[in-house]
Amino acid sequence: MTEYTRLMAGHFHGFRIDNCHSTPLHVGSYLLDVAREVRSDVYICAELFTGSEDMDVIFVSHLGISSLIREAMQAWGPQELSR
Amino acid sequence: MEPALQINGKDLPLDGLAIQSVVGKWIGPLTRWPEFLKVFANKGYNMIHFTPLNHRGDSNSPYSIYNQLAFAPDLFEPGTTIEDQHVQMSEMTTKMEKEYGLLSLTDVVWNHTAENSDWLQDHPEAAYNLHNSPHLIAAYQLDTALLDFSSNLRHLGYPTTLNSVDDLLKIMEGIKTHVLGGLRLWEFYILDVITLASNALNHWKTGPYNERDFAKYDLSTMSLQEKAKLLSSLALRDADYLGDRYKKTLNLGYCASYLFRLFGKYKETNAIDAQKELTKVMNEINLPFYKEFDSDREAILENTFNRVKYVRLELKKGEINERYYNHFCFANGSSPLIETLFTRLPHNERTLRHPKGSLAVANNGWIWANNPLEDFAGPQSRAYLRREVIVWGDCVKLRYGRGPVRPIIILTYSHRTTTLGCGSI
Repeated sequence: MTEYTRLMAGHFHGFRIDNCHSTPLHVGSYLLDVAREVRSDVYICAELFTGSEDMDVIFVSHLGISSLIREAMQAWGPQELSR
Repeated sequence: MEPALQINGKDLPLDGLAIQSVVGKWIGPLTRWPEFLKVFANKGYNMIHFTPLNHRGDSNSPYSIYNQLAFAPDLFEPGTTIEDQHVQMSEMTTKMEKEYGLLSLTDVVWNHTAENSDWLQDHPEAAYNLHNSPHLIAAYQLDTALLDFSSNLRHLGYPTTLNSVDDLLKIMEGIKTHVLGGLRLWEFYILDVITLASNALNHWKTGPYNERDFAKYDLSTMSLQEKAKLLSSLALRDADYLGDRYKKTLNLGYCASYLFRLFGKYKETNAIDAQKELTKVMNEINLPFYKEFDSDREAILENTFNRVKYVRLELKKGEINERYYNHFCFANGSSPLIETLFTRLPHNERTLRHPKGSLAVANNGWIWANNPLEDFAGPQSRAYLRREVIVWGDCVKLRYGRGPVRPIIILTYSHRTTTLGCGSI
């Protein structure tokens, strides 16, 4: 996964972390360090469905995430995006 | 966090991003990309999000990656080497920025790999297997028994097409009889009373043990529950999480000392009473373990019922077939009663050297309202046994451990491509 991450950071300007909510924090931190060694300004967005803002903050601040994916089609109402 | 984004050296604020998603497996080879890129750029997009462009596994889902170090062969001219793939992709993303003003973004899939990933055969320890994760043995035996039952439905006289909840209830009765009935899953939870009592008596006879362990307790005035609680608190071992059958045990020295406190030294004449006493107290220790099993058994039945009901009756996925099915290949109609939670890696010359149990590996999936800081495949979780995991049959979950980060073992090889499997999604 280290080499995979290194390769992808070399090709692409940004990552969308798939299933960020089930990627252990220490794994995400480590692999993002690897990516940032290759491309220091890599843009990070994440699929992060934790169900709570407080938990989101833990992931966002720990990993340095710039944007979160939300699924409007999964939401229970127009005022709510799926979390 | 505000990223430092630039397009061709010009700053771009986060709010200025306009991202178009592209499904990599539908866009075609790199040689055709420029015609699409031109359209995206003209529309005003400035970043393209690609679903994973890596070599896909046999479900053909871009999120189920067969080889993380290679790109999908269908993006390139036939025969392109992996090294050349990387050269061409690098040229392409550079060209996207320089010529079209488009930044590029890729998905990264870190917590699972395609179930047919070739490297898994060399590194099953990267997954949660029955050797490194013996807490999954019970879940695996249940899973296998469910698949066996599924392939015997017709033979056993159960419906193979579900039309109503009544049909499903018949099948649930079958699961109770033919799956849970034969599996004796409670053996994963309880002490083996007969063996332990016999070993403890023997230990009492031969020693050594400390005669003072229970000296400060007046066992003769204690109720059975109190004695069970006391003996359990001192002697219970290997009870932290599930493992193989009868993993839980009692320290024999404490058992012998317990008998000494009640009966004095071993004598032929008091052996039978001692055995009765130990059996009673061990059965009492087992009581909460049986209750734990009962609760998990309820969860197994409830989750199985709900899942089959959802898939067979609410989604109308049709007849239950006898072959293992793949989450993303539903359309081809081969699917057992319920999805398997495990991938069974092939037994062959390469995999022969791995420790026993290594070739059964847990698939990844999703659990409603799960705490993301807890590992649902870890030893403290029974999510696989209770069948709470909504499984992705084409993805094997990767096992990283609890950290701090240890070196991640996998993926240091070069492997040529194979043909791709079935389609859809």
